[in-house]
Amino acid sequence: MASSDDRVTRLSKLFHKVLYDQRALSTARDGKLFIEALCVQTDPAACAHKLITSPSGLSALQASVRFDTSITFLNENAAPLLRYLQSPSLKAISSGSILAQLLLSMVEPPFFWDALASSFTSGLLNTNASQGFAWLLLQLLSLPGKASSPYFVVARSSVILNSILSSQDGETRILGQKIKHILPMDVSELHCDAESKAGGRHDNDHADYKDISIMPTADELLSKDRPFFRTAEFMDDPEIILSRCSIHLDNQFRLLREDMLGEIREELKILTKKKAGRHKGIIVDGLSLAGTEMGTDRKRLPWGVVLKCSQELPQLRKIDPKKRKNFLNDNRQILRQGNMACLLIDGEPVAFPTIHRDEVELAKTPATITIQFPDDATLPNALFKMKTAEDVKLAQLDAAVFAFEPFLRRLQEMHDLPLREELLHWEAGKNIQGPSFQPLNVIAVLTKHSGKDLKSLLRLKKSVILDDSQMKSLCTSLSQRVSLVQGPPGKT
Amino acid sequence: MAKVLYDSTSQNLLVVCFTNHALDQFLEDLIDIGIPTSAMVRLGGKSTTRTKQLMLREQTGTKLDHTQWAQIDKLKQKLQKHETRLQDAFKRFQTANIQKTHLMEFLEFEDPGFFDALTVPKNDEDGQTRVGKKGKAVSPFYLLDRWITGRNDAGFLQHLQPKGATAIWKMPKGGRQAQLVRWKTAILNDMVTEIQESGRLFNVDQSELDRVFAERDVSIIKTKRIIACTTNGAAKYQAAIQAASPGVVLVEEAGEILEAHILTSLGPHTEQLIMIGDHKQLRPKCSYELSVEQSNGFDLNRSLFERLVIKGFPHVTLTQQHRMRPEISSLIRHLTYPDLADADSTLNRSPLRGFRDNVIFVNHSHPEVELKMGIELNDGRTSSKQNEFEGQMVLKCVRYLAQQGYGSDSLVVITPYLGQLKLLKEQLAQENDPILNDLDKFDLVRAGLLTDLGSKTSKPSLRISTIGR
Repeated sequence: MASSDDRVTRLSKLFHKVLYDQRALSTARDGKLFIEALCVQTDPAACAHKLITSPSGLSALQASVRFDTSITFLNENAAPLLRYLQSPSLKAISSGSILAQLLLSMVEPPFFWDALASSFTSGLLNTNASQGFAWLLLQLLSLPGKASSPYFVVARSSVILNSILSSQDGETRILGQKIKHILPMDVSELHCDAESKAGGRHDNDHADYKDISIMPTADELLSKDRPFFRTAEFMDDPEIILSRCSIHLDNQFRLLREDMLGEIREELKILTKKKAGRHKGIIVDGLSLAGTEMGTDRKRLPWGVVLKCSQELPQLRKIDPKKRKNFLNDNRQILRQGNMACLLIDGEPVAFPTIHRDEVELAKTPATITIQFPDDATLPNALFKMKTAEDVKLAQLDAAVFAFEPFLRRLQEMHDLPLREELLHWEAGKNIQGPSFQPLNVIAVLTKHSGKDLKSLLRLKKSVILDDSQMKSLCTSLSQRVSLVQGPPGKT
Repeated sequence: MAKVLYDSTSQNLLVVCFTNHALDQFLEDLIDIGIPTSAMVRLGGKSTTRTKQLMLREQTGTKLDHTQWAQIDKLKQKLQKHETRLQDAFKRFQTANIQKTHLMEFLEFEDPGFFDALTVPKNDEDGQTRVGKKGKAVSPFYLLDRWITGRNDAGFLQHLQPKGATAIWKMPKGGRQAQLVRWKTAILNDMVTEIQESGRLFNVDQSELDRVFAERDVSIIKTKRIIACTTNGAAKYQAAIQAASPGVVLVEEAGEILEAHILTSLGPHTEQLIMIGDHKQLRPKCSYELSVEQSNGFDLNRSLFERLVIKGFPHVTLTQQHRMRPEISSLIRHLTYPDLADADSTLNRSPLRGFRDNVIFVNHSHPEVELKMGIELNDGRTSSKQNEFEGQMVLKCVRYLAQQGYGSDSLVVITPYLGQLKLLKEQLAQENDPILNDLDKFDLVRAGLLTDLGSKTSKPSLRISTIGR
């Protein structure tokens, strides 16, 4: 430890000297040392402040990335620097303008940037450096005014954007989605606060809620950005009166879906060991691609991918082979029909298919499991990865997706909200309309029958006597398009 | 209310409840009041002995007509075609082992620059195979191999290289490997896309087939005046329900239902929505992060009922209660419902045998312990609690009540904590068979407090529950 502490002290000394003109950077080795010194500064915000305010901070940063533009330098030295600059505390200072100054000093003139971009294009950057490149590109695209234009040209090159979007690294892919989201936008729009809009956080975040796949994608669950919602208060804003209905449906969808995802997120943290705890669900490993399942001509099923286990289902190991099918019939929680599962490929969650339960197939040795992809957005990647994967696992998730899915689908289908005048636009003082079919004559007779037996009047099988509050609620319910009856505990 | 709407309007009614239990109860009330069972249908898989006759599968349906059968035949044929195509595509993908021939073919179409540089040219004069140094025929992949292994030129074929190929031969080795990976990925991607597209076509026709078969159900539903289902059913069977175009939607337990769950039960013909519920009892369930209690303003668990009441939308409050003896109802009258009146049926009940009072509060000073293992689910972070002393007290009370002649079927034990519920379950099991409701059971398992889900005993069963179930 002592020697590494020593090194930190030396590095800090060097950092200070360079910033205050007591030492000049003159060789590639100096440049690398300076970058290392910068990255050991424990407080990125304070470090940025020093770089900007000191006499030679910015020029030193500029020089340090320019001495050497070899692949090794980009992968070994530039990548940690870019990682350091990603600290959220930096972006937060004066809404990103400090970070922008630092980055601009690095990329202009573009010796470093050109080397980075061309190495990325030829696939020579390692995971970290690629992520750094994608991040840097995203930052440069968000520069105000014309400063960002040259980078739009870079981002629009399909080779670059596609490589980012198809990266093996989830963080990089999410950056790719953000870049893709910015691209078609008008430069003037860019400076509206992107955080407060729907769309672009990951591959399943869309401006129109009808485009969102109900089942999550792997990248969605990797994303650390807060999903887009509106508050209940916003719904009452008179400014949005014309679009209130669609905004309301949109928001109800997003909130309800997040309620579902919250559970899945927690389970996933445990599954991927990001959080302590034991996953209580069922996990089957050692799976491989075996074929397809589409039902028979008599009874068709949505098509599914069949996965083969290496032997019998682990849950059935101790059960007599002849009794396995019955055991499965008695224990429906084992790979429950219609339950959501997580497909983990080489330790990473890749897709969230639905289990199709076939007891006969599950009871076989080796067992096979059918999974369906109702939203097939994650299918290509899952198939692709399974082809070369060493370890394919299926974990049954506890999340009660069936308690959400029908509502979410229905919300996506809805074009209009019936009774919107009452449900969304009613204000104190407004009249409440009646339905076109209100039985006016019955209501008139009823009001005179408070406290009397209604058996003959309503042709009931037994005596019914309503008290005043019951009669009032009956009459208002019949005569209003929307009505609320509050029944405290113990009402009949 | 339902009876009036049934008798005096021509509208169809959609009756929606949150739980199957409440739905069945409501339907039984409708039968009792004189609505003919032939006019009602209950969607979904559950029922009671009395509501079983209302279930969809108990109805004698109409048969599909021959246009529908023709449609089915056509769909089945289409599905067979999709099946073959999908299976083929899948098999090709599964067995795909990308050969150099695949690579060259891919390059020919997608990257002609590389194709020209890496193709071994045919001998112009006689069209014969080229021969290398030792008189052997040159492999058609001679150039591709050289390039992959990192050579800097086309070897003895260098003089035949097209213009502009120098850049290709100058690529660094790492770059070539990356390029190869990219080509292979692109080839596999094409195959996967084919699978995805065939799969989509298959699923579209498959769900269309399901829909045609479901028209039988639709024709049954169309003949009914009252359609009953849970909120979940209302969203799930929306298409079939809309075929009957119900003008009225009647919601029970509306204070416990998420707004989205009510909105999704409304259809284009809905002209009237009647909600019965109580916004002063439990809110709908949702994760703590989105709840009113978390106060981030998202308020997902604010029911439509509560939201409208807060806005000032007029609501009628029923005043008579038929459940509690006056000693008990006076508590909630003071706390929450000032106008609550006791119905006659609640008066003059005989006092509790063996106890001095009918309502008893016990104060004790035996502190509870925190359970590190289990968490409360209402906020997902505070650890659950247990109180051994209270558990023992409950056990003794239950025993004492039994001695007074109260069978355990007329008792229920409730507790606010999941941890205590677990303790009660264990302690009471000594003499009784504690019965948990499904929701509590589910929560206990989720909180990590329960694994064993069932063993049968002959002990008297005693219901235990957390509050609000």
